[in-house]
Amino acid sequence: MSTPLGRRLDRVTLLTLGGIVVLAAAGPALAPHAPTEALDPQRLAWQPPSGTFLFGTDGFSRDVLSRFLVGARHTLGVALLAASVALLLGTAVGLGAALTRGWRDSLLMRGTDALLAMPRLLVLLLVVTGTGALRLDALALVLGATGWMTTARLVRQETRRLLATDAIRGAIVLGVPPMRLVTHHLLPALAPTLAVAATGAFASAVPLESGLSYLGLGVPTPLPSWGNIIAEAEGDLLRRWWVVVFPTVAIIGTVLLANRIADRVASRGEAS
Amino acid sequence: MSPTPSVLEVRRLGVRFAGATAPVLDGIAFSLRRGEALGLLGDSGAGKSTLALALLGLLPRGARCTPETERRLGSTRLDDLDDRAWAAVRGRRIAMVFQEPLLALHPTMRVGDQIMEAGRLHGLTEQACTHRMREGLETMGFEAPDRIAARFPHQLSGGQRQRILLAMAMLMRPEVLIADEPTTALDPERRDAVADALARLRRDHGTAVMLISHDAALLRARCDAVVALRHGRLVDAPEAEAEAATATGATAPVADDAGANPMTRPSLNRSASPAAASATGTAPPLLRVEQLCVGYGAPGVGADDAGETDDVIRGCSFTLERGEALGVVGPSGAGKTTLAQALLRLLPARRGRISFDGTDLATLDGEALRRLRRRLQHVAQDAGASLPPRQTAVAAVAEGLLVHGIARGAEARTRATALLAEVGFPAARADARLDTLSSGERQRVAIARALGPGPDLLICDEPTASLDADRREQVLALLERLRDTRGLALLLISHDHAAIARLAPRVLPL
Repeated sequence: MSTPLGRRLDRVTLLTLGGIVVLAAAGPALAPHAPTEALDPQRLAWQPPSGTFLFGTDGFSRDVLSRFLVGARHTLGVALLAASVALLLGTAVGLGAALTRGWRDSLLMRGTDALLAMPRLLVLLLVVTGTGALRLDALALVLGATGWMTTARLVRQETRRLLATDAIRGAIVLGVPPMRLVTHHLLPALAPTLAVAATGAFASAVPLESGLSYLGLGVPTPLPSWGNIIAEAEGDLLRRWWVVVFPTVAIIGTVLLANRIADRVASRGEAS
Repeated sequence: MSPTPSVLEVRRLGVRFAGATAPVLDGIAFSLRRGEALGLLGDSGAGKSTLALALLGLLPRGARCTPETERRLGSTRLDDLDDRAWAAVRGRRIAMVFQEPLLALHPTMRVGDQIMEAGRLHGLTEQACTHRMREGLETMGFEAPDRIAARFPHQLSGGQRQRILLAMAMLMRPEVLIADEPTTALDPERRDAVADALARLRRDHGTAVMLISHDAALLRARCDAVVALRHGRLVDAPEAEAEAATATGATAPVADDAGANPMTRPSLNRSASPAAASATGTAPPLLRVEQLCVGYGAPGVGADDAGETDDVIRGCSFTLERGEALGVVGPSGAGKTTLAQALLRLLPARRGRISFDGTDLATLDGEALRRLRRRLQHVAQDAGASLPPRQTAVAAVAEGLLVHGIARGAEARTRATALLAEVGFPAARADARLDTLSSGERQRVAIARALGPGPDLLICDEPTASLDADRREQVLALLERLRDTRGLALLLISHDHAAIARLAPRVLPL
């Protein structure tokens, strides 16, 4: 991917990423209206996009653009936190399994496999229906706690490989103690893998949050998120297309972007 | 003693390496009569192998006999020979069995053909070759010569290969046979069998034998006379032992009186090192390996006694004393690096035992194993790959001091810089990231890193392979110095014969 086209694609990726970060950081400041403000429920409900309302309005006559901009922060924030939790848990389990071997390794990994075999959405629905609507941070934790298994498998696999390399063996033979081996030798070498795992966890968390929110189990209303904006269409997705299209495009774009970055990081990791 | 004329007469033999101030051998004089056996003892690096090579006209490049040297084989003055004339003498009239039986054998040639090759080269008829080959194999104690002759070296055990080499050396009925540690790699039974075979050669063919060994007991039992090399000069063996008893400081850090009674020690142990045993004679060797078997993956189901298991290392046994150097040789795939990994507890032993300073390595784990690693360091074959690529040279060396609590912070840095200087690493590059260094530079960083913890044993896997002649010399000199001054024991895995010959008097063929 070192062709000019590849490099230009890369620039596009970075620009889009920058745009999304700006959106999440500055969203509320850019929003023309308060996201929860019902402007005029009688006359301004379900307005299609126009010069006044670029993204139209929803059934409560709230400005969809404002909700979209503020919702970006919630959706991306929850996904980011969820990805961090998943990364932390997955790395701990994966490293633990790879370093201990034997029955602990088996126990950890068979447990991971069992969790992986459960449909994540179903688990989330069970948890959320059990607890009721969650605060944003709790939602992120639950998303992270159900999304670390692939990371754990990746990390274990890569750690096993690294443990057989001369560099790590050299450190072991030198007498580097286990904690330092992890912090100074394994984690730096795992960095490309972790980057891939993190973007993957993020990419899976974004649509899940949106899905849960769409079902009314994610970001609690009236707080906006990309998912619950879509939910406002109340089943009439085709006629009220503007509440669906903009968040959907944003979700797809974000997931594609995350995967794209993961690919780039992975190929760079291989090259080095 | 007897009127028999001497077949080999050596006078004032000296050998000097180019650029060296002192000769490695000086004023060597001895003679060998027909059928006589002379034992040659000596410390590591005393020049035993150099002497053997000088007698064969095979001195390495850069080494020369001094002008007053006089070597006479029968009526031939060896000092006057040119290359062509030497070729006619070597193998035909004076033969040598080298230390490493596997390296000396061609791996893809049946051993029978290898034995007969010298005969063909020197103009024997095919019939005579075959006859002598069979006879030689029988003399060497093989009961079915034809079956053995059809095998390849890898199908034979170390002891069998050793005897094949002797049969090979004997084909041309040389007047003189020089055997360099012919029994080092053998178990006691085989050792006796080889010694018996040598005795038969002397009796049946009148061959004069020069036996080079550390095994004083063997030499005493099997030779008519035993001499020792000390500081490049020949001395009578008893005198050498007395000297070893007093000159303790020069060769090892531990002073004791063990050198006075070499006969009481197990013959596999080195007898020339004064540090070989404590004052009571009961201290365990630094490293003892007993019947070690190592393999990869799950053990196979093949029959054990037929040697058909999938073990890479099969029943390897040896000991290594403090301050001693042992060379490990063998073709690629013989398990040299596997052995190193087993000794470092990177691979588990399937059978057998590795004791370091009396402690069974298999019993150690976790922190106890980590603490032992301070004393047991390693320079990996691909030294560059064994270092953390993103660290700087000085940080990589300092890490070894840090993790063993030897030094930290600025002091660790200072000591790491000093270690790097000791291995000849350019000071200006000390803060360069390791992945920007040349392989030779990384090699030296790896050596400095391994020396940091102050180990008792350093396992070097091809330590000189990626170095140019100057750097190689520097590293070998450093290892030699550490061995002599700090009593560092070396396990030297190498294809570099000269390096092994220089550092490691004993060789373990795999």
